Amino acid sequence: MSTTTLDTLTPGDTATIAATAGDDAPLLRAMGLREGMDVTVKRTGEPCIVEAGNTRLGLARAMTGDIEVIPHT
Amino acid sequence: MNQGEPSNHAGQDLDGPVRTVALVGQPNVGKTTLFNRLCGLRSHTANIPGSTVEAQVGRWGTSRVIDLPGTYAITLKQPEATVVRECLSGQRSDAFTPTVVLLVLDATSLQRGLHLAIETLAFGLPCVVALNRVDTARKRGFEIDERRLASWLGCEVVSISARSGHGVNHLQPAIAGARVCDAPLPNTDDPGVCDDWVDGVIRESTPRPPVLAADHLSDRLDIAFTHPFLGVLVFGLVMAGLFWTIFAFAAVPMDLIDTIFGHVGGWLASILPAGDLRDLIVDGIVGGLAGTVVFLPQILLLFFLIALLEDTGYLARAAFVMDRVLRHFGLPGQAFVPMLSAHACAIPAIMSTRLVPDRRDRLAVILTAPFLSCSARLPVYVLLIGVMFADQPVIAGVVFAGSYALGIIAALGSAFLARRTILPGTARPMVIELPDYQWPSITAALLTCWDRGWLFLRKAGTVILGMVVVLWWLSAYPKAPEAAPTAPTAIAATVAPESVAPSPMEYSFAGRIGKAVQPVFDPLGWDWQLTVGVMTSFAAREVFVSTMAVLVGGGDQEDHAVLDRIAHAKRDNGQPMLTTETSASLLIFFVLAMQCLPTLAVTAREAGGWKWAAIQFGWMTALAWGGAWIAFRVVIAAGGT
Repeated sequence: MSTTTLDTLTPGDTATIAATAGDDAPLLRAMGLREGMDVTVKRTGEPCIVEAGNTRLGLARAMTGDIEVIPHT
Repeated sequence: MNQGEPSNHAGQDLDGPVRTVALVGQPNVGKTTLFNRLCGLRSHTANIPGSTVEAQVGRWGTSRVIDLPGTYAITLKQPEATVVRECLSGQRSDAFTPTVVLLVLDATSLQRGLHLAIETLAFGLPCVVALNRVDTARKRGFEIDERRLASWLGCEVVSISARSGHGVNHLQPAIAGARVCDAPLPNTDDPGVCDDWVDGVIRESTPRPPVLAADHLSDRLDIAFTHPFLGVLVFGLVMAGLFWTIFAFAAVPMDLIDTIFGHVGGWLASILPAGDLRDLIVDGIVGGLAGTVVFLPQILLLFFLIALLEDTGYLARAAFVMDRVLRHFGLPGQAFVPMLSAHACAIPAIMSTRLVPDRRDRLAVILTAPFLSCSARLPVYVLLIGVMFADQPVIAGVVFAGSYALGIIAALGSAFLARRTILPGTARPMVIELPDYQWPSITAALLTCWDRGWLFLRKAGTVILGMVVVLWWLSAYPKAPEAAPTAPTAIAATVAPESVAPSPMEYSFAGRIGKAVQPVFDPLGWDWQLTVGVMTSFAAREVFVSTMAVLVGGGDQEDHAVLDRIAHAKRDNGQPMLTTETSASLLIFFVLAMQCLPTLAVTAREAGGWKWAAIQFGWMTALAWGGAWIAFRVVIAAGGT
């Protein structure tokens, strides 16, 4: 399984979070973007919208670039 | 405009509560809705000692309830998390040390909430878990077995709907019998173990598969509301509607307040014997309070509408959309809420910058928010634009809108500069939760309104009243020898250019200071009277109109006759006091200048030092002087009056 970062996905794509990096990793984890969680990209752009569980988050690309994911095929 | 500060004596009016209950939860879980349902009007905003974070404190039966700030995790480095951590560990004052924790979890985002539960329970305080929004979760096919959840968490779990009130009556007995968690909890330092534990809890206490159906309404609305172009358009329409509502609906109560104060002043003037005491009460206290309290309807409406918008979930989308725009000026999307509030009053706006997570971002918002035209500038705009364009309502409207636009441009431009000089860097990358859309709660919005209105009135009754009395004293003393027998209201000397003896106002401290300072403002075309008016308005802008009324004589009620007198007042040399060019320079000055002592005090407190207030004051005043000079010169070049 190859990993990529969350900012490379397109709307409607789903993926499983593999790792979160950067200074804001604790906040992202607390907001629901934890390793092993499935995420769906709702809107791309700057900022973008992703959904994890029932949590919908608006995230800057600087954040999504720090989130490593395994895309679902 | 002046909005109150939260009190620092939380709960002194609440005698002998049996226990202190702290509400802990993540943002958007319905914590505040629950607080409002429990305490209703028996609550007030309080500053948590030793921090810039505020919390609602209220009374619920025999309990004192503290609505601690929402935080995603207690271990984060954000100020909200720090405050929650310190309150739970008893490091704040006794008044903010809970004896019982009421942990609010959202049934629709249980996984996230359980991580906060581990951190909270680890403090070893008696705890009850309120599982909110169970009705919504159930509708979307997600059932939670509260008994199993309770056995995992080692404390009582009560399923509730804070919005409908369902199950809330079970909280009181649960709190009375709250116990310290008696179940084995994972070590908070080991994220892997915590993740496994949370997965286990969800697996055991929910039906399989634990899947929540999607919220289609939010999906559909977000297509429009978060769209790069459509979203900005919607935002523009919402804001236009908001301001239209505020100005349209506030006009009637504002007139009413004005009339009531006018009658009270008139009545007091008729029953009190002429003299200093009457002048102090009628001109100083009643007149000064009228000029402040008259903005109460606008403040109430603004907070009511913002609370409604926030409750629907739209405000988070607006911040999301505005992030794209504000980022170019070095401001984060979250800055738009304070910037919106600043159009009513800079003080609550600066206080609401606590929403902005990054310190430098927050400082940039605090420093620039007072550029936005607050409602205290309104009467001044009305006066000056009325003088300039008396018979041209269309041009007057355009100039009016232009004044607001100039404030916005100055704020954004200053933020842009600040991010390249004193606050280097770019705005913190956006991370914002977009909660599900829902119908707003009118009750909750009314409670917010009541709370904010009360803070504002308290401010008006203390700080502003004090300033008004000082200003009155400065303009009434020392008495001019052989002047008219009574105080400034009786002066008409300004229309008599030949008069040799100085008028009482000229002779007073305010007049002397005005004359001494006037050369500074001479390039802007102001005489000593306008200088006094502008200087007194440094305490609070709205004072300008009443000061000018006092200067030109004839009572300080802001009725049309007084505005007319100001418009046609003369200088010492017989020339008109207000010409098109002096009105233009004054208008620009009032748009840009920092003329509000309470705002400076709040800036110093929120930014963490008087240095920031000094920077704000210096920059805004310099820009205002420069802008006013340009306006003066441009109007003269264009023909003037």
